[in-house]
Formats: sequence, C-alpha cells, structure tokens
Amino acid sequence: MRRLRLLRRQRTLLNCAPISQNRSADRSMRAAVARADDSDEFLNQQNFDRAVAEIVRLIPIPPETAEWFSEKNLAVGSKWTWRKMARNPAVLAISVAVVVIAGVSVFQLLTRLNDFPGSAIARKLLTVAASTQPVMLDPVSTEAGTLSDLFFMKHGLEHYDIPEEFADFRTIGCRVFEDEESRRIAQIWLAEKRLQLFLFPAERNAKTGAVLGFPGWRYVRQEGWVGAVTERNGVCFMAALRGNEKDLEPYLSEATGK
Amino acid sequence: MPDRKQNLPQLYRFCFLMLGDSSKAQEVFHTTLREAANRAAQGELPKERFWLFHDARWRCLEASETDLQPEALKLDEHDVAPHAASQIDQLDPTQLAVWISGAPDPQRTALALFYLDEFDYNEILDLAELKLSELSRYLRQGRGQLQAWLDAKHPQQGTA
Repeated sequence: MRRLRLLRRQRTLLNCAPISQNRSADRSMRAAVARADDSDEFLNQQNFDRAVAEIVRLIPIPPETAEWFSEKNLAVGSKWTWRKMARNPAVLAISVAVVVIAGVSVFQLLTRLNDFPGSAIARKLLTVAASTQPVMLDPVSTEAGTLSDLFFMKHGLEHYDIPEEFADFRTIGCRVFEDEESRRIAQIWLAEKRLQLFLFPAERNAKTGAVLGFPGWRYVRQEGWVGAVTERNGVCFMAALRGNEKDLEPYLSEATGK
Repeated sequence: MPDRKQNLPQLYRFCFLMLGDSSKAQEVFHTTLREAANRAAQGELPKERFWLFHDARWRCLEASETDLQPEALKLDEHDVAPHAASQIDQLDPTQLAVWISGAPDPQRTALALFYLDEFDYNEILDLAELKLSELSRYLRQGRGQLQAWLDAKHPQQGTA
C-alpha cells in the first residue's frame, strides 16, 4: 500500500519534471527523475516537453515591447538605502525624539551623580543666600565658632557646630528661621568675602529615622552660587558664596592642612 | 530578487501564450509594466516573488473574459508519441500559443508557465495557486490533448 502511494507520488512529480537539465529541482523530484530515467514513457515526455519549450523560445518579441527591457530598475523592486530610510518622516521623528530623550537622560544622570542626602535643601538655601540682605540678620560681631553655644542656649539647637575650618572667621550677623517644611535653619553672615554659613538638619531615613550621612565635603551649585556641604552629628553645614568651587577650595584645603 | 524571476522577455512570452494574440499580449504586457512603473515611482513595489507574472496572469484572464469562450468539450487525449518532437517542430509559435490560450484556466496558466521553462514546479504551484496533484494532472492532460491535436494536424504513418 505504501509502495503504491510512493509510486503514485513519483508519477505525480514526473508529470512536472523540469524540462531543462539545469533547472533546479528538490530532492524528491531528483529521486523521481533518477528512477524513471530509463523508461521510454518518461523519455518521450521529456522530448515532447523540450520540443514545446523550444517553440516557446522562438516566440518573437515585438520591438516596442523590447524597449521596456532596458528599464531594469523597474523589475528588481525598490532598493532599500540608508539615505532613503533617513528621509522617512517617521524615522526622522523617532530619531529626533530618541536624541532628545537621550540628552535629557544624560543631563539628569550627570545631575544625580553630584547628588547626596540633603543636596535639595542645600540648593534651596543657596537661593536664600542670594536673596538675603545683611539687615535681615541680627547683628553679631564675634568669631563664628562661638555661635554654637548661642544656637544651643537661645534656640535649643543641638550639634549646630561650626566646623573648625570656619570657626575663626568674624561674623556680621546671624539668624535662625524655619523653612516651608518647618526645619530650623541657622544662617550666619561672615565678614570674609561675604561668605554665608548655614546649619540645617541632615536628611533621615523615612522608615528608620537614621541619619543619611556622607563623608567629606560635597559641592552644590545654584544660580551662580556655590556651596560646600558636610555632615556631622546629624547636622549639615554649608559654606556658600557667589562664585564657583575654586573660590571655596582654599578654605577647605586650609582646613585639610590643619 | 534574482533577475530570472522577473525576466521581461519571458513575461511577454507568458502573456502571448495566455492570450494567443500578439497585440493583446503587448497591451497586457505594457499595462502591467506601466502599473509597475507607477508603483516603483511611489516606492510601493511588492516584495512577493514573481509579482509581475502574478499581475500579468490576472490581466490576461481579465482580457480573455471578453473574448468568445470555447465550448467546454472533452478533448481527445493520446499517449505522447516517440515522434512527437518532429510533429511539434512543424508548429510555429503562434499556433502553439493559440492552442494553449484555448485551454481553460488554470490549465492554461499551468501550461504557459511550465513551457516557459523559467520556473521550477514549486514556483509554478505558487504562481498558479495550484496543488501538486492538480498541476500534475493539468500537465499530463495537456500533453495528451496536444498530442491528439498534433496527430490530427500532422498525422504520421500509423497514427492517423
């Protein structure tokens, strides 16, 4: 039964056997042709088909029709090119969007690289520093380091200590105020290059309440002002002035030298 | 797509075999290529294989719909004879094309595509939208019917 089906399948294939020897054929066709190669019936069929195909090849091509044959590009389909693709409005729009998104992402990444716990408050305080006038502060002429006792005694602010690198500078005035989130901020104005010092509570973990500290000094920038921030005992200290990091570096390196 | 698949002289021959008339074949050929040129200008050329032949086939069938249709007769079939090649040699291309174009479709398409000797059988199945068993039957019947017609037209000793 299987053999009969196989023979029928081969017979079916042989009726479609390629006319030219060089015409590509799949494996089953090659097998069917190889089996039938010696049969007279198949030989007659092949001779018949070749003779008909030869007549077809003799079909003359009218001259006006032959003119089309030089226009090869028509028949091979539209070719894909980078230039053509780049001119596609959809591709153009997507490319611009991707560039903008990438630019914003890089900008945000660079901004975040300089972030540290308390950097957001520090930036806000730089804005405060830029808008503060000396008359807004209580006039106090003393060494900055001595104000820690004042903040503790008068305002109950613990650990609002001035780092020793800034402790010896003379003050012009100081004040304690609350920001919009009721954090108590101490602000000191120094005679030295119109430096301003800020002391404010360090950021804490919302769940555990633990202080989110960070080592050393970190810089923040805002509208032409620069601040150097450090954290000690749950209190952040910031020295701020109009300028850039280079203007603050001598004070910090002096401190390191000490 | 290889050039062989969109061989334009073969496309014209295909139209000629389908219609059996040079002027009609030229008209379909030119219409097919004009339409293709328009689509190429708009960058909308199809990606499917043999689309020119596929397009031309339907145009040929449309064009021949308006012609007088042959009566549906059961044609005689003879076994392919050993001397068939010499009988075929006496035909001219137009006679062969008229005979093929008189066949009902899809046998007409199958015979035209097969004797172009341009496509393998899988490609013909794709283009003519046929199954292997159908293509095989149409070709076998086509040979038998053409042999019977040749025997009637150019009888050899012992075949008339």
